[in-house]
Amino acid sequence: MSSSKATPASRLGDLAWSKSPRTSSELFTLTYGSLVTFLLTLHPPSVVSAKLFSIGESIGSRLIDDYLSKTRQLSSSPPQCSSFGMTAEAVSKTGMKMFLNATATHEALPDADGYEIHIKNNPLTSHLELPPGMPLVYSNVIGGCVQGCLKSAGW
Amino acid sequence: MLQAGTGRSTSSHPLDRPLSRRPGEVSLAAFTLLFSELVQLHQVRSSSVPEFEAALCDAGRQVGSRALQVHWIREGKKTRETRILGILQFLSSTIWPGLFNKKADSLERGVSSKSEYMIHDANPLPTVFCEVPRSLGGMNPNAFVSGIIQGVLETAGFGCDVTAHRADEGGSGTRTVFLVNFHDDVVERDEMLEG
Repeated sequence: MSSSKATPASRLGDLAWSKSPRTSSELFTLTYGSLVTFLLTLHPPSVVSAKLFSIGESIGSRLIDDYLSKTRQLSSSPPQCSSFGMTAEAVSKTGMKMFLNATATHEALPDADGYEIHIKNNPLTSHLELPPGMPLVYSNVIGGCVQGCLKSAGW
Repeated sequence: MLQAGTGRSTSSHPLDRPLSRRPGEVSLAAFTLLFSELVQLHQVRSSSVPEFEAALCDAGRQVGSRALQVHWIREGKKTRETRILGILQFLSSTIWPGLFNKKADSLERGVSSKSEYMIHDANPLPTVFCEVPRSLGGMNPNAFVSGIIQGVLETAGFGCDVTAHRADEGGSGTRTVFLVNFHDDVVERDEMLEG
């Protein structure tokens, strides 16, 4: 259940987004589509999913610096991610907003130690139609990116 | 371990959804890092600078082809553009701002040849943070933007070859010139339409 109350993390995300230099999301979407299409000419879809994840990890390991520098610049007391729950909130409310301008919510997994992050308006899939049954996780780059960020941040 | 899934989509088919009046935005950091990965992917697979540039150009053509269609529909155009100058003006004044947040600096016709046109841009957006190492010689990462231009023009029915060149501006740095060389049949068709 997503809360409509603004939390410090979501306020920071909105502020960081308002100050970010931006570019067209269509250029972003189409460039990503071009990258995925190229990978699909080389590998089967299941392998492409793994490749997209590792590309995301590489992006995430550099994106974390941008995240940390911006959040520290904009807030005198940026939220400290001292628990995994706070980290999940930072990823979904701050990170997704300031980089993708996407609304995301996080929910604790009922029977595992982790969180599910649901992204509402994912720019990567805005004009996407996948063939039915294709075993491709199209937005796996985002998963990889989050993993890369968290790994670099010590999680 | 992180896993991404698409979940169950509740939205209709992408072709049935209305196109928003203005495209959305993402942070420049996200695009720049994604573009850097695209460039590295092609660099690793290419064995020479021309092959590398051709690969980036192909990647750009995918983008350009779709960008034309999106912008055409968004502008509510009912008829195809059939003149060279018309499509180039649509590219530089509508598609360029739609993708790069600014109009192309200028559009010129080539002096020496009827088939040559030039689009100038001081600092094309995708390559703002690109620095080419000396080991790659004259490699121009704006091959991606050349590809976008080529994709737009080819999809509109104007076969051409597009190359990116760096031009020195004297004291104020360099700018990029995209040289568009239309194929002979396109030039002949345009002359016929001129009357």
